[in-house]
Amino acid sequence: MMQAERLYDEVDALRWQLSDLGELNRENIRLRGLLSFKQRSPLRLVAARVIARSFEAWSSSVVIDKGKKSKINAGMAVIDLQGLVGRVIEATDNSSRVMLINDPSQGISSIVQRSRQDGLVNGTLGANLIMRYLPEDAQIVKGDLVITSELSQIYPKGLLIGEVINIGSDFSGLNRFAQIKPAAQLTSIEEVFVIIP
Amino acid sequence: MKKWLLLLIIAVLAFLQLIWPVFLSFFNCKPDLLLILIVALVFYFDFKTAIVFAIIAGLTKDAFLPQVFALNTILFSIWGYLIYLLSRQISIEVVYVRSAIVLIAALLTNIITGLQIINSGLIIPLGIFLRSLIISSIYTAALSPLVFKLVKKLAA
Repeated sequence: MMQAERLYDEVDALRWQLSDLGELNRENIRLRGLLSFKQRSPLRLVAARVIARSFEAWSSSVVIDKGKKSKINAGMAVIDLQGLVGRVIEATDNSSRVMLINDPSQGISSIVQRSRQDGLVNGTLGANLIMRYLPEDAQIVKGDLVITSELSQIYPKGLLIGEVINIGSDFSGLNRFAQIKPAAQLTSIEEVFVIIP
Repeated sequence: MKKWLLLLIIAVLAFLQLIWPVFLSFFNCKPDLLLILIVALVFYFDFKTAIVFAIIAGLTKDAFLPQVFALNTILFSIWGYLIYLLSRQISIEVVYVRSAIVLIAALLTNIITGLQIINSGLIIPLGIFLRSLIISSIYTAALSPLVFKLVKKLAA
């Protein structure tokens, strides 16, 4: 009976160990990807880890574990392996607050990569973004990739924002809008890069 | 009970809200633990203590938000005062009545926060506005009995 209990305890302990190893393995793969990306990228990047998320449902932001000591300042663009994540809005010595691109106060000057059609991408607090102010004859179709434009004063030109998943007309009928699925997994980001200009 | 422990509880709840796990967030909504705390303070502490700690909790929440500073400080103080007045008019001893009060306070807080965002020129689709308003408020009310129990233990 005692031996059975001891074996059960051992099984529990091994289960925990297995779970820990799985997590470490996943983290290892992620970090290797980040390192490889950093080495290949022409941009000056500082890697950071997400340590906290939005305080409530009315804003979309995260806190990262790097700040002014790592030369991070407000206004810098933040990306991950998939694409644009947001921008730094506040930096302390050892941490920074990053407003994500799906926050409604974000407005990103952007273009459709294929047709160079320009527009303004806004956050909606939801899973998708909205590209506004597209003319009736806008050259945009489902599947198009949207990137930051050179008109943006915050973001470097050419950062991938996401992919067009739907196109519609606004209430007035004068303009069209496009729904954009962000390239970055905004709800589950763990590691990011801050672009140092 | 030493009142400084309430400062610790505010810090713990704020920390919990910041690291709230993604799998516990429903439709990207999380509960407002500090709001539940200020309602619980009115129930289990004297008026002066409740208001002082409501202001501290409001300041803590405002410090972590990119919106207008002091909005939550003002709202938390008002809710504390109004709930105190209400508690002298009706019996609020039953848990579900207390949870209903939290629900109303959460709905009002979310409506004001949402309208303040829209008023500042930002666009939030109606569906997402209603989602943030309703789900956050219900989630807050649903978790309120747990925070009530914690505060009751500390007040004892």
